[in-house]
Amino acid sequence: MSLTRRDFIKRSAAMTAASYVGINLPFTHQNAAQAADADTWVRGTCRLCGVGCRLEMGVRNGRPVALRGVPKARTNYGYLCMKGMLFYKIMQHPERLKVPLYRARKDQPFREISWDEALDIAAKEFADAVRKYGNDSTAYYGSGQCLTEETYLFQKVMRGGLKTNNVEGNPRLCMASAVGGYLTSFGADEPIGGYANVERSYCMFIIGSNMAEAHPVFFRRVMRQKLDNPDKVKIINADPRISPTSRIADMHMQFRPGTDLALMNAMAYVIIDEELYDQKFIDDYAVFRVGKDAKQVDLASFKADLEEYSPEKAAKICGGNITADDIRTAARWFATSQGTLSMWCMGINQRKQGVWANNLIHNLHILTGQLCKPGADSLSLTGQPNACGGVREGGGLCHILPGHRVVANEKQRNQVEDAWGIPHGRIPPKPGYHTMAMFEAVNEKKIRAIWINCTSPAQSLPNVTPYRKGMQSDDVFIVCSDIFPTKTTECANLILPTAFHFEKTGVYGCTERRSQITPKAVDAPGEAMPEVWMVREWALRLAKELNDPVIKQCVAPFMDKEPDYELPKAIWDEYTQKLTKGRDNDLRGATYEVLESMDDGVQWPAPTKEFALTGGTVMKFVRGSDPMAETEAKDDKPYQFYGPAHPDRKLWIWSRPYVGAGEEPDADYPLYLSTGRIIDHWHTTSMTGRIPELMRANPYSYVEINPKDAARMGVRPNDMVEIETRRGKVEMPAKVVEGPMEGMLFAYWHDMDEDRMINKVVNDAYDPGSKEPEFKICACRARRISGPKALKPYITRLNE
Amino acid sequence: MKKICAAILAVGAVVLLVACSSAVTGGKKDGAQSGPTSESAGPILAQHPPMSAQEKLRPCVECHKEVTPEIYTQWYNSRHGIDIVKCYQCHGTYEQMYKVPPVSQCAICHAGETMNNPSAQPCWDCHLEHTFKGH
Amino acid sequence: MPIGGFIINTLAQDCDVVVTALEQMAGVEIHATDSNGNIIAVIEAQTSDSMEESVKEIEGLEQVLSVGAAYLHIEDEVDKIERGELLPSNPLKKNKKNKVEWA
Repeated sequence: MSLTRRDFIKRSAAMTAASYVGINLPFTHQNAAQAADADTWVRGTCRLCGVGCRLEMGVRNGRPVALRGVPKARTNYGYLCMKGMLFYKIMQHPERLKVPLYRARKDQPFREISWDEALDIAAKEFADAVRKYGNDSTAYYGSGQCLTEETYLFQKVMRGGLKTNNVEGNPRLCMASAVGGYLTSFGADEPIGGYANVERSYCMFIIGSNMAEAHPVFFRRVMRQKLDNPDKVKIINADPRISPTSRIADMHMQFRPGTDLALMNAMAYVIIDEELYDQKFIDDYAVFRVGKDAKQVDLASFKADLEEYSPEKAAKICGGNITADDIRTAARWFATSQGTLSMWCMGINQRKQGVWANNLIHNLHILTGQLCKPGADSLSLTGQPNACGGVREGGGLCHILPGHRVVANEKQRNQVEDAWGIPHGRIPPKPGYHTMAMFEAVNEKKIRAIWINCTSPAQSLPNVTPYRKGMQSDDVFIVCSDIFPTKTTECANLILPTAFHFEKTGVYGCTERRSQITPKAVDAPGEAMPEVWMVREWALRLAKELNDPVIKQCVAPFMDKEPDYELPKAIWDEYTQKLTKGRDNDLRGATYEVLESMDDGVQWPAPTKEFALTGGTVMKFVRGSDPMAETEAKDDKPYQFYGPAHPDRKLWIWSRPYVGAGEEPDADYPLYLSTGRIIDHWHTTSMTGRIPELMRANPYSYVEINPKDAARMGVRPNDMVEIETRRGKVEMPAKVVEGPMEGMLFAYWHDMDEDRMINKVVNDAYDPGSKEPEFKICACRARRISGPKALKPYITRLNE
Repeated sequence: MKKICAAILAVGAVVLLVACSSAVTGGKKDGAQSGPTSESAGPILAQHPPMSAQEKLRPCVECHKEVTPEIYTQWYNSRHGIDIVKCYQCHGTYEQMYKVPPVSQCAICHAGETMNNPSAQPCWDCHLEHTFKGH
Repeated sequence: MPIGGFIINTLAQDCDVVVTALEQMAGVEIHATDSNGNIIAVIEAQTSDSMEESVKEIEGLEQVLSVGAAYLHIEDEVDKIERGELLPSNPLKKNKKNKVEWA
């Protein structure tokens, strides 16, 4: 066993005495500061979550051998979580997809084909679909893990080339409500501040997030701020479940799932009732609005709407451990701290009222003026590494265009068409299918050809069974580009092997508006290629098939560019220099040259290289921090809210009622079911499941059951439990833990195994504004099936 | 007692200063064995009791909460425990498990501190392993 | 529970005799000796008083020239922690409603 504390002290005593007389004691703990032996270290960004840790990949003889943090990076300061430490291990994994694979029908096995054949097939099938069923029978479903260059080029070819806005991505399933919240509250997407606010914050409100497991390296900064200032810093954790994040909380507010809207309205009630609001800030910068037509109202009307959310009434609605006193204390801490920082993630976003939930958080900040000053911010935590940079900013959703533009605005469509050198009218005027509608359209045979890139909807969609069935039909041609076989490649006709992170060059934009570059460090295995090359080659063939030179025009600036560096660079240059120019996410200063020279990256807006090299805009809208606050200034106030969605240049405080979840428990299904991630695994486990350290830490999904419920159900730790909803059933081993509140189950969602795939049973109702589904709440019933079983972890293999 | 204590402490204080400096410089005297330097032989591999494939599919803490409870508690209440730095991140997994990891493992997250360590001793000599206090 | 590191000095030829005698004593660990008659010992005791007695006993041995203290550590809680009687304190103040137990 390693040294105990007492042994250590005794050893120190002996060594000290020995040194005095010059005796060197034998050192039984062998140690060497061996550098992991690498020839070179290549600096880039982590492949996993939305924190945007910077790290270096150690390369020896052309192979990846290690990862280590970059100490000066302002995102992670050198720290990494276990996923960031270990993901190099999958790069040379024997199951990497190395050659294109094809089958005409989905009951056939895959056979290997050449790239020429593969791209020809892809072009012909999409062209056939256009000819027979129209442009809107084609679609692209991408990912918040694609590089910005990839998302941008795909959506350019789809919109400008194939003339369809059926461009979507998995951020619709996680961040769409946050986007909706920012746009409706602040007039502009993405946070005003960034991570730097943590070290200046004295009250942190963490709601709907288990950041200790979902954003561990950013959580480290929160933990550190608390431990360094234990009495001055207050942490409020609001979550129906006690999670590892709750450990650092001064107050844990445990409310019935879905009642967080009542809770936050109650906090707003206290802020107004006890006059803790910042009158000047509201007068200078905000207006009150209500309803579908955003009718402007005044404080008195807003206050009247909050009458039913007094702390006493809200405590009744919320149940759990919520008391009126706790609500008052939380509100007072929030309002009166020197700097209050809110952070949230899927608990708030993946909701039928996700946009409203976001609005209510922003309300608290606007009312109290906890914005734009150090330590104060309303910081939505982004789940994926490039949901912001690629999808939200690069135009990767059905209703938006690059540079924070919207499809519905003709002037903006024309701006984009001009930048692309294509005729006006190529981009259709109406948005395409949003994600849930897209897969419904697949089921209804309205979509006949779809390209799915770097994501696995056959596991990650809510209520996945009917959608997976639709994808398995031979009436839809599916191209799947990925690095490993997944549940989705099982539904594909054509599988294209992609180069992984560090095997190609590109930019990721993380939670705090910071764009960071990852260069190619090693070659991809076999014939795997970067996506940007695939799109270009496919577009050229499409142009021939459809006899449409405009499709060729979409990739014309990128001809003859080698795919590892020159091609993505040319794409990035076009996107930043032409499409973000003058927009609120101006990235013109963040050229590849600038990004490569930095330990971390550039926070937009950064219109010039000089400004980009300093790191960019720390606090948006604040004069002195944000260059656009100067150029867009309309008066001499210190904050200028120039966001493109609010012509009145104000922050909007929304009056929103409490509405519960889409499916609440009832007599037949009496328990709440919620789901979430765990630290060792990323999403569908297709990557982390192939790393032994991570797989062994969490080989299957568990369901957490409250000890009181477990006692009632007769469930003991590791017993097998069946969870059933209106949509199906799954079986999981149980963890009996004071985690979820009584009456609630919490299941981990990463498992690929059919029996344990929790997304089969969750609800696919979605927010009417953001179209983001309510993964987080539905009604279930559960029963003990058996004692512990020896389970096998499961990862998809090809041709199974 | 007080007199001896004072005497011990007085001698000790002087001696400690001398002792510390020679420990740091790691002086070698004739006839003495080689001491703690960064050139000493490598890290120590673990002799983990053999586990079946099924048994390996368990997080380390599941057994170690019972088998090494004081280490578990030290870790759980440390910065690593709160920030969920798990056992295998330092100690590896079965195919290559370390009882005492190489310092290069610390360097993955603590590159700055590791490279600028003024003493030749490994990190945990001063920052007691598992509690990680003391700086 | 005090722990002390000591240098016990003897004449070179008396070293072995003294080491044997020291090994009989409770709470005394020999860590090294050298050819100059230096013996490095760590003495562990329940209280400061009993440590003082041990030191006196060693000084009383005929062949011992001197006993010098190089390092003294007094921490009452170390062994309590190791026996599980005392858990190292959690640095975070917790609401007693929060009991986070997770594997």
